[in-house]
Amino acid sequence: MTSASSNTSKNSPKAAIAGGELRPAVIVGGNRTPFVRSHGKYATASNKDLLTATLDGLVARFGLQGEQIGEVAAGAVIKHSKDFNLTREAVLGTALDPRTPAHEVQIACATGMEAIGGLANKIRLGQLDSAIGGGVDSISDAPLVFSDAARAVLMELNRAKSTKAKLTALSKFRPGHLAPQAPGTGEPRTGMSMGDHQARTTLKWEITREAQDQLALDSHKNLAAAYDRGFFDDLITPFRGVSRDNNLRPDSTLEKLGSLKPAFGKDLGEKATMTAGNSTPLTDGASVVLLGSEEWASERGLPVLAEFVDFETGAVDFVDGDEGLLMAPAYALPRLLERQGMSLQDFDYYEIHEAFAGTVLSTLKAWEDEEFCRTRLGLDAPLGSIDRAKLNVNGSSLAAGHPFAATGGRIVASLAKMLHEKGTGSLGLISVCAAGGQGIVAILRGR
Amino acid sequence: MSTDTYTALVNQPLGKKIAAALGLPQPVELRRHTPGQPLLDGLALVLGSGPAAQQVADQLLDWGVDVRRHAGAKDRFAAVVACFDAVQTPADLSDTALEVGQVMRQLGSSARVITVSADPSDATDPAARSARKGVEGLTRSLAHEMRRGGTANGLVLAGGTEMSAPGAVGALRFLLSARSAFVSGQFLTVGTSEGALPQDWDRPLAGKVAVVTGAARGIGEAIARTLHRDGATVVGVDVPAAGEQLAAVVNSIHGTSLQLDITAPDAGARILEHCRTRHGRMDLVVHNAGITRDKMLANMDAARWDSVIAVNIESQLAMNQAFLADQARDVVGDHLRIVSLASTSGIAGNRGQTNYAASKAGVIGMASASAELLAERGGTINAVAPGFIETEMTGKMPFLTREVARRMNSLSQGGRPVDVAEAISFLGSDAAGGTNGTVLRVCGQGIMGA
Amino acid sequence: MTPLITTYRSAVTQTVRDAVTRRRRPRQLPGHAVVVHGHRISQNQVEDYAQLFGAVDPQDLPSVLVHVAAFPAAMELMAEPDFPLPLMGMVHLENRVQHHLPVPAETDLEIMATATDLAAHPSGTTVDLVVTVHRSADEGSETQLLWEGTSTYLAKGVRLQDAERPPKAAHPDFTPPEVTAQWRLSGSTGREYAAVSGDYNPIHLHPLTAKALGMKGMIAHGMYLAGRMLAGREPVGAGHSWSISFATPVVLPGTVQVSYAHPDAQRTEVTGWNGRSSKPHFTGVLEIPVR
Repeated sequence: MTSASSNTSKNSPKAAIAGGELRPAVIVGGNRTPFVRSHGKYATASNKDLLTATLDGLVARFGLQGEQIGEVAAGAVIKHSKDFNLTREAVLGTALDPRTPAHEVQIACATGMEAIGGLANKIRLGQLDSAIGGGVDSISDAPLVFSDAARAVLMELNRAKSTKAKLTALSKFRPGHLAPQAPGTGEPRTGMSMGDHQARTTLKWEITREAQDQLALDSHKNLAAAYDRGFFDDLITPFRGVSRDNNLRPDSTLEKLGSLKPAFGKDLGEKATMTAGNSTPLTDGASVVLLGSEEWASERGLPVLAEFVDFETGAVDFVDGDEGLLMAPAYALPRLLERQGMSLQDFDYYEIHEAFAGTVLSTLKAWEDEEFCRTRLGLDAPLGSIDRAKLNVNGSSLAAGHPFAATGGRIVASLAKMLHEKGTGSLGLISVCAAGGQGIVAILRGR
Repeated sequence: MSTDTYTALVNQPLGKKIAAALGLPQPVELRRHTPGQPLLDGLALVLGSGPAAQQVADQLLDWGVDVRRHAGAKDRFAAVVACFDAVQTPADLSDTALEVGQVMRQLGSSARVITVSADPSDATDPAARSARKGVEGLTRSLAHEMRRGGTANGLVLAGGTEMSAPGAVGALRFLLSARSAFVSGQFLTVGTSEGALPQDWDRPLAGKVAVVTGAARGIGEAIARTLHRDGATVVGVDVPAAGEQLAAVVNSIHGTSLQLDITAPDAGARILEHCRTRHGRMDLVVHNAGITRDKMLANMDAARWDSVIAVNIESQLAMNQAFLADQARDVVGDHLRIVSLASTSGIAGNRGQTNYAASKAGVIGMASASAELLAERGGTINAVAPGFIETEMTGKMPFLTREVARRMNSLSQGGRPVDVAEAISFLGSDAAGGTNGTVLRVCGQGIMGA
Repeated sequence: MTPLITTYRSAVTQTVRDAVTRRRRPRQLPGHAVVVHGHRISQNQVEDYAQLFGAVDPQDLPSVLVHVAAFPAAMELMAEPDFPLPLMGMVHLENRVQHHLPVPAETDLEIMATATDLAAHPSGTTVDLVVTVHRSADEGSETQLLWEGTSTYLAKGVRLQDAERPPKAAHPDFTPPEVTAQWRLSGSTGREYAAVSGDYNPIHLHPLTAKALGMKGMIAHGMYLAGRMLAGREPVGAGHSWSISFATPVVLPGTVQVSYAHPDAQRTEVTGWNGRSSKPHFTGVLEIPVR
């Protein structure tokens, strides 16, 4: 029997939750599937298939077969109601000890970040010695929903006790009811797509088409270069015969990107700048990150890449346009920096999730903007600019794709490896925006 | 793996009759190793007048085998060990050889005949060397005459190594056991008294950390599984693109996976780093990863040629250099064993495989030239050359070509990936510590390159 | 109360009869009111409404649902033979509602409809239909005004005798405000709202019936747009007022660009327009007193 992870041993120091000292939560490594455009190569893979395979790849990489992990937390933004216990079901399908507990997390595109950050805190408190956090999303596997009218009939049928009542319910059924409603990526409260929301923010911050296309191009070039030098060899396990993110276009050029027609904010006419090239496509994939206490990692001869220092969640009132839908990280960051006594310029790497090129550039511009920082963030001085050479240096979502809940795990694992290569004490900043006007920022420190 | 329907068919009563009537080959299901099985399914006969015979007999008794020094008329033998260690002149072969002949009809299924002799090249006297060399011819021919899955192999004692040396005992056991099912007409040379015998013959690799390249599928997968069965902790290495299968293999044998391209300049360093941090040591390396890019030389392009050479041999040379460097001493133990996959194509050549054969012959050269380096630190390096093995790859051959290829050996059937893996597991164990710089063919005495 | 569908049927008959007999309608509004006693808004109707617009508190119904329940009284008045304007072809111009107190479901309500303010309009004649909703008196309590709404309708081309035709007001240029929401309305929106409201006016049901009645295509109910505008935004406990005025109809299926703006703490201004033509569909105001 595998020994249960516990802090009850008399020799181990008292857990922080029981009055002892906080301890660092370290990142051992990660694993993800290649990200694949939706309705493509993973079209028949379910969220559970993707998450199980990703966990198994992690288990293989770190020899965790039969290991009882303290807790596994992961989520999916779009999932079937039948997957009510998605993460636990996935764990049961892996080579991990079946006594590994698991739960689900969901905060839209920041799901992976929340899962990982929450687990890191439990490790710091001494509640866990080891944990796996991450996320999965498959638009290809998205549940098809019947119209409300059809659902009402079906529910009535379900409630009907007598044959007559059942027939009455059935008689209300119309052929048109059978047409399923495809899931939308629209915000429920505004009916606007995320892209149309961002189009307004992009316009407000006067982000040019050229700047967006350049960011997209850099993302593709950086990701391609990272693949070429084997950076992802120990971060990705192929799935269904795919071994690379298939949204990657290493041969993209500014000319090609410049020739694309606007895809979002089309009502803005000439002022529309957001294209399929500088926005992320719908993508399928999964990612997980292995975390632990330092003792847990060293006892097993596992590497320690970085420390998960802290994270902060923000939300904005986007519903009637007070703030842009994807601007929450801009608000969360100053709180995180102040708490940690850091400035925006203290970091060696910046990982700003590229939901849209416009999101990254609007966020950066907001941090540079004196008035925004004063009136909106309540700061005396702007947070300032960053060294762009440190931004998304191994590519980000524009090139890799963005399976909503899987993006956090992708970023944390990659950044941890980058910081480890950079050296002990190096610092990395993560910013991930999310639907619903939310977002998470986080700090990692290299080991 | 392709299915050998023919072998299955002729093992049915009716099929057997038809095959016999038509004079078709009659392959049998070979006895293969499973943990816990007895070394032999029956009696062993030990022949010969030199000191080796008594040592072999004592050893077999020690292993619980029912040993005879003379054959009774009704005895059925699972194995015959014919010791020619004392022959001085070709005339000395006669007695023992004819004694073997008399019991040939008393051999059971998957029987073993093992000749024990001294290395001909150690003898300067023409008569002695010709006598010893004669044993080789005798053994090879006998292998052709074996029936019902039986094999004949030679154990060659070189440099005055005694039969009691660990390496000789280990080789004897391997050749007798079901682990050598598809090895026939071959010679295992034991040249030193290095090595050690395991506490448990079912777990000869207990406590060892083994690296297997190309472990995601085919022969590599079988090697990984076999080494794990024999007690090793396996680090499965394969190209990133094969990571999904690699993870599945590694998870089923409690190992760790390492996705890397072995042609990368830092491949050796990364393997060492993985072993250092995860397992604290590295005892065995199996260079299994390899590719084919077949073309007649007239049509060969640089990409095909160069990639085969780079993957199949240059990467191994570079990795070995890293493993043998001083900086690696903290990870690589004193008895590093390297086993490298050669091929019968590398020995006999094969149409359309100039590049592949060059790389695999290169592997054989590498093994012999590196033997000295390894020996300095108590290690060994050997090559294993598989013949026709039933894999996904050979499963894709045209039916007729495959049928012909699979029957062109003394066992009239293709080998299985596990047969190659068993040989590798043996050569990677301390029980094979006396064997260094050699090539062992696992080919059922295939006629190619015989 | 007469179901609306019957009202439409008799309205069509009346229109045909008027055409045949060239009967001249009276020039005066009926002096009486239509009153319905003890009307209850059923739980079923609440659920149907919620299907379309989201969760509803049965003790505090949305304004538009109250309108749906009460307006048939006004329709009945408009369908009376003596009503000076023809029901068929009337255009809904505007709605103003004061929602004083919560209106509960499954409770007796007193509904009263009157017609006022017959007035000349550049394109015809307008009339205001005023509907009030009271809680019925029971032992120990008086009737209580919960809700009152005024709907302005235009009878196109109908002229009041002796009335001067007012000059056409210049259309102010419409500049779309910043979009904050988008409503994607499917082809079945009209039928779905008809099923909830009972307003089976053929212009909302099918492109062919709509075209037969002179429309460009099947159009959304004005009150559906009002319902969308207010969904999730009415205050708990009521006390609010709102209005909506309609410019060009929303052809179904179609997408409405919407802007919600907050000029001050209690006022929300809503604009809906067509993103392609930049023509306004409606403007609305919601006033929630700061308490």
